[in-house]
Amino acid sequence: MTDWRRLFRVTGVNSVVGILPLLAGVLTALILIAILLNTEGFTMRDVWDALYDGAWETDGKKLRVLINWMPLMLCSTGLLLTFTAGLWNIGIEGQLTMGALGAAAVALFVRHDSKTVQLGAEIGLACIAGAGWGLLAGILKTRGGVNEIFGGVALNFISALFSAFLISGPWAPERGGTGSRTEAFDEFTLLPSRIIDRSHLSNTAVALTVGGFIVVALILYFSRFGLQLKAIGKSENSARALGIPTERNLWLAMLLCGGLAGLGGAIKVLHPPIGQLQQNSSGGIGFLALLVVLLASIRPWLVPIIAFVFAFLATGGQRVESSLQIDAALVNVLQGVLVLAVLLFDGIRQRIQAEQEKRAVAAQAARRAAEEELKVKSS
Amino acid sequence: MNEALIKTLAEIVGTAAPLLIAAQGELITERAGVVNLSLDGSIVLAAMAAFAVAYETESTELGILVAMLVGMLIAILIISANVTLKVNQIALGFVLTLLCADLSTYLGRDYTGLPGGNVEIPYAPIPLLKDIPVIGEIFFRQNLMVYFSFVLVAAVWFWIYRTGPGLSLRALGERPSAAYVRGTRVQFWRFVYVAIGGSLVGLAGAAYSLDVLLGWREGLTVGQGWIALAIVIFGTWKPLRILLGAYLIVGLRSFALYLQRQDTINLPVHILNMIPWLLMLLTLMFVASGVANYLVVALPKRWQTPARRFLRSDPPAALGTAFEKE
Repeated sequence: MTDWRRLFRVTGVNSVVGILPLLAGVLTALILIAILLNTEGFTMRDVWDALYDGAWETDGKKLRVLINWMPLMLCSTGLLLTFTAGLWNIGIEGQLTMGALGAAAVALFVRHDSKTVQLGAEIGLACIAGAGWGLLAGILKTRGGVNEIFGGVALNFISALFSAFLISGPWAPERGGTGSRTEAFDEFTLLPSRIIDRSHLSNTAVALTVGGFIVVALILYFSRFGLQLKAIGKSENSARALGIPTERNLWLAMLLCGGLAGLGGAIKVLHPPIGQLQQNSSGGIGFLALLVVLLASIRPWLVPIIAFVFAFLATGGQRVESSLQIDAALVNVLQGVLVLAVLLFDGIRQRIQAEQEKRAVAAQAARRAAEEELKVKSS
Repeated sequence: MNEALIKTLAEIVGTAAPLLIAAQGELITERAGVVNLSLDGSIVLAAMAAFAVAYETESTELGILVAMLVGMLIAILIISANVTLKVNQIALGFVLTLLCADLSTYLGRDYTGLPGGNVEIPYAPIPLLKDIPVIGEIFFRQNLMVYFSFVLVAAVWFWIYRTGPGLSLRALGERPSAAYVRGTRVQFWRFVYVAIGGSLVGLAGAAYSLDVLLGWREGLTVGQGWIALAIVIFGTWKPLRILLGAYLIVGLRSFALYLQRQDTINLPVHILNMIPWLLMLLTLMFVASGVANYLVVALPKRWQTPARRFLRSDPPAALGTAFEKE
């Protein structure tokens, strides 16, 4: 039988103290936003109503949140691996873009009779493109002496420019090209979907997203590879000294993360109703995923929840803009303040804990000294 | 020299000024052992603040001052949280990058597209110097912000390499524990240098909205902060090389624009814009991989040591780590 206590321990579910910073951060962000709104003459209630109206009122709106959730979730899942290994995979934005390009390349130019094969090729190439882009950043780091943050930023720019080049040049629609999107993909190349309340839902996409997350969570909690990544994250040099193949593991983490981001890119462009490659198809999802994982402090079980909240905010944010005339950037400000506050509160928690430990150690030492003294006296 | 070329070069020197100022600010910060990753956000928020304040008060100076304050406050937030709470500098910087950019969009929405003619940093050719052929035309027919960027590079170089406090600054980034033993107040001086670096980053923002890209619109300077960060790495944490790097990048950009305007050469602009990034990646790889070493060995003996020194690219050893007394 599963030892539930062990499961709680490895997942960190039971540590109430660990969650406190998150709650305090949420509170801080809400208060700050309330003040900001107050100066504009709105209340939180107005914004909540607009968010609810835009992203939750009907089944179709809920589905739209789900569609936004999937690419974000896949990127966050991938980042769990790289963050665990102590890598700042800021290049995830580019990995997502490359995935979208890979899927679009097949959808636009390859046609197979079987829909399964067609979709498999699209998703496969997306994963390969994303994984390759991730691995490239990894190789640049370990072999090229290029820090993964700088390498990632450079690769982000390069992929964004490459995508813009394709959309405005070779992949531009034959008629009426605006330089901002390709031709709509053929219905046949899109993910199979049902229509519920005027919104689409592809079970395949949901299964891939959830499946990817479960696999990564299992890897992190229960596999040797996951444990090795944790060791590398704590101290790369110590891990190497212990005989862990650090370079191979780092590459694998980047590869898997890139692959998942690529899959996210594929879902982004292949899920109806979008069904085309648009300029800026990454749209900051990769950066948002970095915030999600930071907010979760790399605790996997929190990631789906936080990603869902972010997807909800992103979906409802548009309604906030249109009905209250408040810039949708406010929703992003809320997210930013939230993550900032959580980082700071987590720092405070760690500091308090460290001081407590220090005091406990000192108290123990004092007790031991007193006992020694007693022994000496009694003898 | 040909008129058009001189005009282009002068334009490069002018538009590279903000990038140069921001990169020097980041250089000071990183030399002190701290990474301020928030550059992209800091610059855009400072640019917005500078334009908004200058527009409201009709005072360019006040706008510049507020922009510097914004940059400084962001940098201070990073260093304080890092020193007192041990929060990761990279994480903080990254979050602030996104947060500041969004804040600038939200707070600056009323200032979008307003004319900025009366708050522009005035054109100020330097008498006598401006009459030097070629050099004068390129460097001395600019505005005060551009002259400041020249002076800044010289000052930073002198401070780092020729003064006692500059030596301590290098120690802060290389081995703070050694600096501490030598009697340097590590946390205090890190704080000071990071604040100065941050205010320079803010100044760069003001240089964009009050000069180079006069005015304000959403995401006015997006990407520039990342380029400035890249230039610091590309310039191997040395002030003069950062100057060269900034001019090279801006030069490549204007070359791409030039090529785009030519009808005979049909290279897509997006591909041309990739060149700076590819160049930086390739250069860094070239230096880090063994290839550079093979080439150095092939040189005459006399040139080997200077060549090695030229190719060396070592980040400050303690970059990004919090200092703790043992």
